[in-house]
Amino acid sequence: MIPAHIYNDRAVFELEAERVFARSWMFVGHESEIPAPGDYVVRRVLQDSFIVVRDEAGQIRAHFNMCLHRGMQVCRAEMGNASHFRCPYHGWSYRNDGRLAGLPFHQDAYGGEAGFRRKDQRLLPAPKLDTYNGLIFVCLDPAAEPLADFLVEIGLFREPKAEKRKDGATYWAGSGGGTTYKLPPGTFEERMRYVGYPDQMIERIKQSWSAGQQRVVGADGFMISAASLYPNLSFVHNWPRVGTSEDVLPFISIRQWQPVSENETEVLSWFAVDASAPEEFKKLSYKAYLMCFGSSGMFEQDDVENWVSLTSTAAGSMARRLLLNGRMGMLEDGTEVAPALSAEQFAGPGSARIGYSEHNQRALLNRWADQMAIPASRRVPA
Amino acid sequence: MTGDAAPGGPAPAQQRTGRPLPFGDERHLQAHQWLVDEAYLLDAQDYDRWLDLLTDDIRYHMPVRVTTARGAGFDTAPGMAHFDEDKYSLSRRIARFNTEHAWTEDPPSRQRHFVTNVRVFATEDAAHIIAESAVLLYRSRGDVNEAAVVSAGREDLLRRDGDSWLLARRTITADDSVIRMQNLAVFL
Repeated sequence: MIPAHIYNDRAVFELEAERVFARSWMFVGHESEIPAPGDYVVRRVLQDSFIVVRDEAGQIRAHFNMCLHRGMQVCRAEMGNASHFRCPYHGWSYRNDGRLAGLPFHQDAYGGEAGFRRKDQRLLPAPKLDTYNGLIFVCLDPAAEPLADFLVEIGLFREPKAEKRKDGATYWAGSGGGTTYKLPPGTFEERMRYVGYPDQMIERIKQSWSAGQQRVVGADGFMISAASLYPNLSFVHNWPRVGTSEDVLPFISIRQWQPVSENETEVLSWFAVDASAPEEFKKLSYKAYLMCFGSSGMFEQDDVENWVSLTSTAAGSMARRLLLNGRMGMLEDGTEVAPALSAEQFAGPGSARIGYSEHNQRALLNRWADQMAIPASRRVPA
Repeated sequence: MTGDAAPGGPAPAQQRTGRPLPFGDERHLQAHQWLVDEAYLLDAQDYDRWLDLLTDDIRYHMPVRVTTARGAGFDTAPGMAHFDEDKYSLSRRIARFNTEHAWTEDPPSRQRHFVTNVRVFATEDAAHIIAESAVLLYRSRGDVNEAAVVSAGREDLLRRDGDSWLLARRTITADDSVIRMQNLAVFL
C-alpha cells in the first residue's frame, strides 16, 4: 500500500532531493547534442545548473555553472558553442574545459600569481560524470557506484494494437525495468518489419544488439515498448501510423522527469533516431514522435492530466489518511497473479511476467523507500 | 541550424513582399476578420469547422524556442518542434478529442484566444497574403489550478478560396522556452 501524500509533500520532496536524486546517476543529455568542440547545453540536476560541454580535446565535461569569484552564472544561454565562458559580473573567463583563463586586473587587484594562483582554478566539476552509448550522466555523490553497475540493459520499444497489450510482459531488473508488447508469430526480421523498421536498419540492429536482446524479439516475441531507469529517466518506443496508409513507423523518445518542487515536475523530452537510418525514415519517425509524445503528443496529454490531478489531490489532510492500492498483479496474501516467466520464455534481464500488473511500480517504490530510509551520513568532501 | 530545418516536410513557399498593407486595404480587413473568426472557433473548440479552414497542404509548425547567446544565430531548437503538422496529423489530433478517453479535455478547458497586432503583407502572387499576429491564449481548467497562459507570435500564409481565405501555412513563435502549460492539447 502506498501512502497517498508522498506525491505532494514538501518534507518528502526535501528528503528525496538529499537521499534519492543527490545519490543517483542523473541523465543530462546525449553526446549527439554536443558533437563539436565547444558545443554545450546547460542542464539542471535539481537546483544545480551544469554546463555540459565538449572541450577542445573532445572530452565531455560538466561544470557547475557558478563563477568561482562571486557566484554569478557564467553561462546564461541553454545551448550554443563557446571556446570560453566569461562571467558577466567581473569578467572572469574560463576555457571550455573549465580552467580559469583570465581575470581582469589579476596583477593590480589580486596580486598576480603570487597573490592568487590562477593556474589551479577551475569551475567546479560534477562529482561524477560518465556516459553509456552516448547517454551522458552525472552524479552528485562522489561515492556512488559506477554508472555501469547502476545501469541495466534496458531495451527501448511499443505495440500499437492495444488489444495485444494484455499478452505483453513487464520486467524489472535492479535499477530499471520496462513494458513489452506481444508480437504476432514470425522471425526476428518479420517482427522488426511488423513495427516498421526497414530492412537496412534491421541488418544493422542484428549487428549491434546482443544475442539476448534479439532473442527477446525473435524467439520470445516481446517488443519492449517503454522502459524506465531509476529514479527519473524513461524511454518510449512506439509505432503509430503516420499517414493515411496502414503502415506504421517506430520512434524512440528519451524523457526525463526533472523534479522542481513537491508539486511540480519539468519534463524534458528527446526524440532519438539512429544517425545512419535512411533520411525518409528519420523524417517519418520524427512525425510519429510528435504525434504521440512531447508537449503536444496525443498519448501523453491524457497521462499528464492524470498526474496533475493526483498531485493536487495528494496535498490535503485526507491524503495522509489514505493508503493507495497499487496492487495490480498481486493477490491478497501477497502471491502473484501470474508467475514469473522462465529464462526460456523471456531472454531479457530481471524477472518478467505476462499481463497487467504493477510489479514494476512496486519495485521502483521499494527501491525509493529503501533509499529514503538511509540517512545522508556521508559528507561530500571539500 | 534553425527550427526551419526541422524535417517536417515541405510547406507552401510564398513569402511576404514590401511593407504592411494599409489598415484600410480590403485584404487587411479580410485577413483580420479571418483571424478573429478563427479565434472564436478555437475558443469554442469547434475543431471540425476549424479544419475546414485549412488547405490540404497545410503546414502547421511551432518550433521549440531556446535561450542562446546574442549573436548565436539561432533561437529555436535544431530539428525539434512542439507542432510540425500536416492535414493528416491535425485531423488525427482532432479525431482523438472526439473519443471517450480524451480526458485531458474532458471536462474541457475554458479558452480565450486574444488576437492582436495584426499586419498583412502581399506576396508575389495575388492568391496569397501573409498575416502576422500576436496571440495570447488564456486556458483555465477545473477550479483549483491556476490558469495557464501562452504568448506567441504567428505568421500565417492565407490562400484565396473564392470569396474567402484558407490557411496554408502557420508558424507559431512561442515566447517561452519552457511551455508553462501541462500540455498543448490546444491550437494557437
